[in-house]
Amino acid sequence: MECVNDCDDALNLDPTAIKLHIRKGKAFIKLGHFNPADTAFSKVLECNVNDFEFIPSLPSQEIEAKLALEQVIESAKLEAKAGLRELDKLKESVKLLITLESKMDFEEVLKATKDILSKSPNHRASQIARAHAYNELSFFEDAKGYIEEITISQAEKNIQKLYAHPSAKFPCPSIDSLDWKEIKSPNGLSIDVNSVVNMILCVGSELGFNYLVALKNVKMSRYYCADVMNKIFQILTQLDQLLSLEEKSDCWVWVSKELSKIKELISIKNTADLQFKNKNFRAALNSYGSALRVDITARRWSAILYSNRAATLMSLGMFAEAVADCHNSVNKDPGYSRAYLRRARAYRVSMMYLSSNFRLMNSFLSQ
Amino acid sequence: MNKQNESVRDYRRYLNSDPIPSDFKDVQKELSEMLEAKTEEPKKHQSSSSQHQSSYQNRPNSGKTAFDDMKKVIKFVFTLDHIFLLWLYIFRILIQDNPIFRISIKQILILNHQMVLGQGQDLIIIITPNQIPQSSNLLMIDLSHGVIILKKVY
Repeated sequence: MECVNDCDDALNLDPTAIKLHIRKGKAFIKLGHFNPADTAFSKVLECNVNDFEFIPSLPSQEIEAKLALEQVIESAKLEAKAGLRELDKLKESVKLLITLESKMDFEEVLKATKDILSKSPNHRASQIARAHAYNELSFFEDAKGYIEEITISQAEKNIQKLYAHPSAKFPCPSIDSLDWKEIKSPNGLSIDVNSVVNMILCVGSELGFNYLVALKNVKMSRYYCADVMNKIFQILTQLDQLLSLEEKSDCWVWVSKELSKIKELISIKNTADLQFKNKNFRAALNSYGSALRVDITARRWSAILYSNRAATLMSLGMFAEAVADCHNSVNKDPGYSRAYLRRARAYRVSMMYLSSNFRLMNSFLSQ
Repeated sequence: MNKQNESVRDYRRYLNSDPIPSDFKDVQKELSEMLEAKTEEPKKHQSSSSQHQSSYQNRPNSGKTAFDDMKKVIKFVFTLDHIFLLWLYIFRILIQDNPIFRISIKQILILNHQMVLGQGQDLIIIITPNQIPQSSNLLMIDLSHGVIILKKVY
């Protein structure tokens, strides 16, 4: 940003310093602003030696100066053409990225964004696509780390203010304050709600949503699901309150939607758990089914809900269905070990069920 | 067989998970019981048919009732958490001892649905023999919280 501003100032002082347009174009590429970069390079191509006024003391000096400027313009045009070629390649890569995203080929999205970001490290759309791809591929820890890293680094370069919410407080919170922490007596999981809220405001709307998805899917939610849900609820409540004070912006609408989702999810899950505890298995089955439809972005929560529904199905003697739900649970979160235990038990019981049927029939047939 | 392998694989995955599960010992015991049952089953199967035949043939003279046997079996079943062996055994006694209770395979399969239950649930089995009018004679076995009640309802 500072480079662009300095180039503008310098060009005002000396319009013949046309190489500054190239520098400006390159700075825009680094910022990920492709259209202004295009304009900057195109200005160089439009330059002509006759566009500039020369006030030499001797006539012979004018010719020399014109020749020198012509040389500068020629070499600048070559550089500008190279810059435009690079820009075209980047635009093609962005088009490809959009296609890959629409095809939901997230592994390829990661490769494509890596390529774009190596040339244009602050290209916002690629950053968002990369964070989204990490979440879609269930690399939630990577998504969280990536968003924190780019936000903090861009905040140091004053770029982040372009995307942050006006209420965001800089400098960004430290990474340590954004980690989930295990607490003892009573055992649980906690996080600094204020720091996370400020971080989401600093990160900006689109990346903020991806940051929240990564936060929901923290590994420890396998063991402290209720704690994670409650903290996410607190974060969203605080964010919603803060945003309601400001002028409503469409890009932050997701906050209130997510808040109503988490409210509903906590309520249904608590009801389902209670119904299961009270051996009201049919009702618990329906409640877990409803809970599963509320928030599909929270995969690790879904894994727990599927596993709990599998336990309910086991209690109802629906072993094949229980096995299917355990499969779903493992698909959602392959690291959720309790789903393996439940599937092992479901297989075991259904196996005994079948073998006893078989033996019983044999005993009849042998009579 | 395939399900058994899947089950063993999943048990092992759970036991090898990180962090070590808090119920590691219980699950490990559960797995070893399952593996023991798997190895003992073929041995039993080889010798069981002749022994069973003779014991059931001699039963009327032994002074034991089906209920006495059932109590033993139920105890065994509970310690092994092996609920499906229970109803198999009950039927074996009822069917082989008492021709009046012979029922068709179709009815047994229907009965499976009545017997479907989960761990810790009450088990209520209602047997409706086809040779006895349903309204006049029902045998009811009620296992509530580990207590065995055998009722003959007329």
